[in-house]
Amino acid sequence: MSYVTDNLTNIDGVLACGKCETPIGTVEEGYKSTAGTFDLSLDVGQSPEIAPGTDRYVLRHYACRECGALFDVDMTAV
Amino acid sequence: MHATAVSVEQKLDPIEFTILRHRLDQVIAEAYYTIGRVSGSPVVYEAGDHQEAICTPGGELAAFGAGVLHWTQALGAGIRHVMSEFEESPGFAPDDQFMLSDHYIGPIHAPDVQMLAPVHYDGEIVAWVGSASHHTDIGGMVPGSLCPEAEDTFQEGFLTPGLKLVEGGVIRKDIEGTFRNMIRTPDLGVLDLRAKIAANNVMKQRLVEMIEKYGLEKVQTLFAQLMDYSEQRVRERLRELPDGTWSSTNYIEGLRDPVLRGTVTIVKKDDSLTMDLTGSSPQTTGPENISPVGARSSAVNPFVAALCHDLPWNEGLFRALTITLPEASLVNAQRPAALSMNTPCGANILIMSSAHNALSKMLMASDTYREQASGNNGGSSNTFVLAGKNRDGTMFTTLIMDLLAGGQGGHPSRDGSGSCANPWTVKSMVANVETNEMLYPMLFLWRSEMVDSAGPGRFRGGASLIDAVIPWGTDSMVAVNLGMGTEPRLNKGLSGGYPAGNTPATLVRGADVGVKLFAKGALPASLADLDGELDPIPAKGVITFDTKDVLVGVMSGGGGGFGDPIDREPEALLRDVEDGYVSLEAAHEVYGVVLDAESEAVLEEETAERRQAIRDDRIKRMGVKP
Repeated sequence: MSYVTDNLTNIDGVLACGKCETPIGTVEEGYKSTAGTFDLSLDVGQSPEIAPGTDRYVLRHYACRECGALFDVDMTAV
Repeated sequence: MHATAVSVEQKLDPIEFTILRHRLDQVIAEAYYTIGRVSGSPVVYEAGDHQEAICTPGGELAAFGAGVLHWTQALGAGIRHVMSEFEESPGFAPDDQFMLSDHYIGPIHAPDVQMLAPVHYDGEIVAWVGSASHHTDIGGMVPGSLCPEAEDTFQEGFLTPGLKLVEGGVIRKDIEGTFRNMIRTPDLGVLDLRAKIAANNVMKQRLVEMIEKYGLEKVQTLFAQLMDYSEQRVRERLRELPDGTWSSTNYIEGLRDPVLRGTVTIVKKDDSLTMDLTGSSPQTTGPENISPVGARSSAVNPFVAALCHDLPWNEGLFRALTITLPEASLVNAQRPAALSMNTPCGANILIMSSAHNALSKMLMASDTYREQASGNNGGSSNTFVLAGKNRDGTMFTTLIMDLLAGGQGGHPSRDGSGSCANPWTVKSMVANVETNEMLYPMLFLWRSEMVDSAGPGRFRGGASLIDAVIPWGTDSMVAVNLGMGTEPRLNKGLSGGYPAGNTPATLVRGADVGVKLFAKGALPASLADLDGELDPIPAKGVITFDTKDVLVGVMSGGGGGFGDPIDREPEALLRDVEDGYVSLEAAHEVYGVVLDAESEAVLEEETAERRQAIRDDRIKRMGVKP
């Protein structure tokens, strides 16, 4: 077994959630196309009083649909 | 006079090889400290914004130092350019040295001026040496020579593709005088040139001593054997890593474009690695582009840091690498596109941060090397070029290099260290506040680590620095901001870790600390202590401020987090709150840790409930699998 991310394992080419062992997909598919996803902003650390921020960027989360364990958080420009 | 090609007839035995390779390291190290001791610029002698290298007669990097890592291939390229262009005229006589500042040929951007010198022995060129350092000004549209308004490279200062500044050991006054004539800080500028000349002289002298002691053949063999050894070790390491493809894209706010994009895709197959920058933005009309030489030099920086930190540093490390650049792009700009701001707020940083993230993902796939992976650091910052009239009436220009003290990214088994890291150089430091205050008319109100600046994660990133500065002993200053990360959160997390906080900056107009605070015996320690009007500073631009204003900036980005924040040990979070790194709000909202308001102890049941609520919210947001 090897790790793809901290909560995502790869056993013989099959990706699985490291917390609840739910299959997520295959290495060929890649977790970004098979894991659950949602976009959420993070206000903490934004320094809103001197930087109002922008909705030009989102934090795209990749997670397990069964238990909610996070695999990856990627900033993306929209 | 022709250079002698290095050929390997007989390898050095392991003992000789070890002794000689470490002696070569010491030659580079002595050059490093020489530059620092001769230069009068804190950018060089405190921040460490310089690099030194030794090349073979054929122009391959035989050794480079722990200075700015993304200048290594750039130095080699500069040396090879001089070798190919000037052998016939003006030629290479003993004790000649060449100056080069064209950022399409050598330096990443023009202020990183190179001095390059042949090393002669018995009438033959047996090596080349090179030193580079950042000049606080080399002319151009604005002080500091990083020009937000530049539309082409003709506006970006003194660009030379090669001038023989030193002829037979004597500095040519005509060339030095021309350079002095075109820059805002002539005394500092020519002293910086002499610092590099001195460093080159040290390397030349020590190499000749090595040759006299061990013989020319052994030194030539050392160069070749070192490169072969490094190549062999890198390839061994690559074979241990799984084959695969990993990609990362990062974004910064652009001067002429809303968003600039840098993409790095790495493909590891057997013992070779390809870094493909396809997907990066097209060439911009702003000065954030980078030349092909600069792009390659930038891409190898995180590779060296992540995979090669314990190997001899030379050209051999790069033989297993192929770097692909898309045509007419931000990362493969063509003349006369402007390049002056590619570092520290353009293509150079985009390439390094995306490469770091992609390499970390690759390392995570290896049980052997995953501890080398980390969240990003160093991608988000503000660098202020400050200029104006000094206390003695002369003009000054300097840079606040606190961007070098960023938070380190979180690792698979530990937090990132705070206000200490940048991905560019091993030995850099941040200038002491007192150094800047002594040399320049400014006063730091504070320089401190900032709450919630670290990227949340099971192992959080390190914190960043926030500074506040006022003019002191002068009426006003011009500030050129070379920033990024005001909008995007650039320092990416890894494996479910969040990116670090963004890095905005503002003026507080009318704060008048002399009257409102100092006169009453009060010292401000945070933005809340200042009474004035906030005037946010754009990431890239030129502003002026006077003694009634305060410049406040998050100067260095925090480190990206590693792993899911709700997996962080609650007791670790308690220490974070007690130490001021994480706010109570963040502890509850992001980490799902509930602390008793009075005792500040962890409430275990409430924490378990809060964390389950966060998981339930995530599941709800994802919806049903299609």
